[in-house]
Amino acid sequence: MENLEGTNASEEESLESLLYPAPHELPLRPLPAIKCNYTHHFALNVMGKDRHDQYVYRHANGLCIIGLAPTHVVLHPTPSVIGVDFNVGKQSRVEMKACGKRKRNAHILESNSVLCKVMTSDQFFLIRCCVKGVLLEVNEQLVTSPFLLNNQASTEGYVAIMMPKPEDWSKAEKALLTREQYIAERGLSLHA
Amino acid sequence: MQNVFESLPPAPLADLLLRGVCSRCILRFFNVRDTGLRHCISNSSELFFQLRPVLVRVMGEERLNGIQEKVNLEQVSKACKPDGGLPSQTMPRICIVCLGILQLYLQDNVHSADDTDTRKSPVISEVTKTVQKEGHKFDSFCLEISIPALTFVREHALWCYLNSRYSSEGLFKGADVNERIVPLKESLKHLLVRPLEQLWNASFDPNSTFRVALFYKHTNSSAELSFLDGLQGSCSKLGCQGKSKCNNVSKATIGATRENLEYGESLSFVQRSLPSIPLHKFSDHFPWPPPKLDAPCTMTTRCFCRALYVGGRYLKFSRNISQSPWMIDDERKGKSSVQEIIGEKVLLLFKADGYKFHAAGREDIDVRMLGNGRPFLLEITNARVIPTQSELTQVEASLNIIKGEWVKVKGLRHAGIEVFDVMREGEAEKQKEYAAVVWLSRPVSDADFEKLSSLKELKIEQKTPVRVLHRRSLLTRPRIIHWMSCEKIPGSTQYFLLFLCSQAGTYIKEFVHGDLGRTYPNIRSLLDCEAEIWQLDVVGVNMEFV
Ligand SMILES: [Zn+2]
Repeated sequence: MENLEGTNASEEESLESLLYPAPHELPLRPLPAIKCNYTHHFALNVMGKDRHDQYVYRHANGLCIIGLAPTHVVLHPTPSVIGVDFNVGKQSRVEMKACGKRKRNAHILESNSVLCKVMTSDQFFLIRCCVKGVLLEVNEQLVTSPFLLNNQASTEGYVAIMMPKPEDWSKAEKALLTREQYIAERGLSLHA
Repeated sequence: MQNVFESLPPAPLADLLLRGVCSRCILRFFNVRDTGLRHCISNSSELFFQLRPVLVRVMGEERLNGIQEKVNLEQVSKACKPDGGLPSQTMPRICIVCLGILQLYLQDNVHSADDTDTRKSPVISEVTKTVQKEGHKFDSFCLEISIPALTFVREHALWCYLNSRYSSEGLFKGADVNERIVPLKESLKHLLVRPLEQLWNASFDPNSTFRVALFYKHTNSSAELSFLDGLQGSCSKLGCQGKSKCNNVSKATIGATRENLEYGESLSFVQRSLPSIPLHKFSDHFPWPPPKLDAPCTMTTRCFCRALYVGGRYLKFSRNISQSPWMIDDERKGKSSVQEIIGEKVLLLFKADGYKFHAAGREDIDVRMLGNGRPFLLEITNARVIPTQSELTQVEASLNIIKGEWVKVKGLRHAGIEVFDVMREGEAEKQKEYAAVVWLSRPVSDADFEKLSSLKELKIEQKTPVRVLHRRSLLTRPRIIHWMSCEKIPGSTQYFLLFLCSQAGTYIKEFVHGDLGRTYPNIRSLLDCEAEIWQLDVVGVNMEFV
């Protein structure tokens, strides 16, 4: 019995030591989930409109998060979004989601198809897909909390999730900028 | 032994013998079980020769000759020449009912005169050869016998004949032959079991995991059964049902694969539908009594060990090993897997053909499985050897002392199939405990710890994480975080250790970083700052298991 308890105690001890990382192994700040799981791509001046900048974050599984790049005109000089409307095109984008594992009722949107309309007090801006593919999800949160675009556009303020075919992605990727190219093009500091 | 036959009604006995019904089928048709069945001469012509004096005494030569004439079987009368010579060995008599199945010495159309000792029959040696070749070690066995549907048709035809001829004498009454005679399979098992038990030094047990299968086929099957197809609308409908039923049965029995099933082998369908066919229609299609045959059934054998189960719990100390082989587009990724490390070892011990690995859920490749381990079940196919518990424990120990092996096993033991359900049920209900190293965008405070540990049974809503959304449906699932507790990591200000217990199916990484707000609330939203997960371990799968 003594012996058994001894074993348990040492087992517990070794579990403890496994769980606690050595402080020197920990980076000052870990790579955020949005950076380590995705490759970042940017589309500048979408449809030829100045500073209509968008991002496409592509997950290793091929899905693409679409959203507003930090340099999008609606966020400058001060972020001023007050509303988001997914009722664009023949069918509301909210209704258009593909469902099930096999993504039935999949609607394929073109890279220039409109995802939503972003409104300020006196203007509106059209946000586009940037890649051809199946629309899996739109961020309905934006309808009730459009301000997410003002302060968290690259995370909680994402606009949609698309699933391009591999061949469509290869085509789209060529037209997009890498993060480094984007930073250089827009003259941003490295921490943007 | 001949006394059994001497006590039977002489006229139908002589009739059956002369028509080529083997002694064992005769006993079946008189519903005689057991008595001396193994030790009687099966050959009807020889038995007739032996019984002839008795039959003459009981019924008189004249009446016997009358029957003999009526039967008009030339070869039988030739075989029983008045000079008393034995029936010719070159003239085999294949039983018109069992197609030779109960005549165990019948092989290559040659029939040995003395077939009372079943131990030396070709059937026994054939089956024994198969078992020896496969190399199973066993102390019990079960027989699975598959017979052609043709035997049922012939049983029915013979019954119809006997019923029409002798029911006025109070014999062979009733329409359904199946209720009146000893089933063919039962008689065959009777013949085989005792000799096999002695020969193999093992006991017959219907529940044994070691299955020995005998498949009998007959070339006449399709020709003689084709009438069933076109007979009645209702029959063909039944036929469909019968066929699907048969498929189910074949799954349950070993190796009863398509190739082993003959045309019209929907056995239970044939057996059940025969009594419902009007007699005049049946006689149009099939002669009573059934006609003679040129060849007996052929037999093939197989043996197989039914799936065995071994249960245990595994631990995984690596962030580079997945639970099952990791394949992308048929290309192997990663060196090994938990499944292979455990499975290959156990496979060797059982000398089995293969294994399947079932676990109560799974962790991501970069997540370690610590604490009490995760329950798993190995399904072992066609084991040649069943190891003892101490041999299992030895394998467990030998696996656990391998230096640098990232997978360990606890409590390896034999398990029943019911553990499957325990595991599946437990999977949905179980709680899981995790330890996560979490980073915050500001220094961690006592207030953060108090906030998190004060939350009990926290309800969260979790959209299918982006990382699995390409292969799973988009759904919002309610999940529960039962409790959380926090520990400081000495020497670090922005990292802490988060212990949490959650409902099965909760994605923990997403609960920490929020997955673009798609899991809500999350650690980010609860502490109102950025939060990232540095590493994750499963420290407990709370589930009762074997
Ligand atoms: Zn027979």
